Amino acid sequence: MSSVAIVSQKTFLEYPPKANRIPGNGAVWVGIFSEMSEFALMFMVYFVAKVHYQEIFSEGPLKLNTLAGTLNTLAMLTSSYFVARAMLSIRQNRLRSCMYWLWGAVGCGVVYLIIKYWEYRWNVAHGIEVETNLFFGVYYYMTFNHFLHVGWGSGAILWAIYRLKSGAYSAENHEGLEAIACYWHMIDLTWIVMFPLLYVFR
Amino acid sequence: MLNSKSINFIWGALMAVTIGSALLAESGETNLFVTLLICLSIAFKGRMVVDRFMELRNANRYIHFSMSLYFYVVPVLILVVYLMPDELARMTTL
Repeated sequence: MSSVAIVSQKTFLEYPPKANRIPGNGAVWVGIFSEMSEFALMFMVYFVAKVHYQEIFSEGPLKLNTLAGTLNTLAMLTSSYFVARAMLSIRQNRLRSCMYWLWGAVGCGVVYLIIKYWEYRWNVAHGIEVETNLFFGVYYYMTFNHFLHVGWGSGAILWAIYRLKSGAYSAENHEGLEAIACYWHMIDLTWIVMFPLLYVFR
Repeated sequence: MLNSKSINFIWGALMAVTIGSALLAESGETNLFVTLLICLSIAFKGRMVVDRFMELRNANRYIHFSMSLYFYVVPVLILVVYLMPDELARMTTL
């Protein structure tokens, strides 16, 4: 695609990731730690609610659509894989390849959102709503929050694709892309915890 | 440094562990052994994404430590909640 400019001819070997670096930039890590703390608070709420309503929290996961949760987990992990491959490509100055991997990550994000929307519709059809009981209240609070983050993260990757096509990233300089990549991985990490808490433990 | 083969392998392992967890979920009630397995799977998956996908393994050690700690603390909390729910309920009652 002619609009993707090759800024630098140097390759991964000339620009390997530096040891002890801050991936991306400091600002994104303030954001990442804030978000991880936010989700940690939600997990604390889950744990406290679980010990006080043990029966509800044992029965709740049985009523959820485990297939939807599993497919969403696979989508999130695959999206992280695509982002990691995009980072590998940018370091090798393979800009078109980087863009394709980023589009793949956006695609997985869209798949996640569609599955989640379908799952919510399925829940309502089976009488599972926010007010059904405390487990489902916590479930909706956590998963909808995560749903929003997947939407925001997908938008950030779209921005990265735009910046890539504009020639802003190269093997030598791709701080913004790396920052967005780290933020996306954070979204995946929070789902890695949420999936077993909500769908697996009975 | 990672190459595409390593990333492919890690992705495959993450997918396999996820499918394994889902099959465990469908197998019935979670006992101590299953809970331990799932805690280990959370720790494993988290560490793989932190170390390999986020590439924190050789990055700033404080960031690496903090992110890794998350995936030790959370699985331990899950185990503690499983083992001592009544005690924790007493401790968290106003």
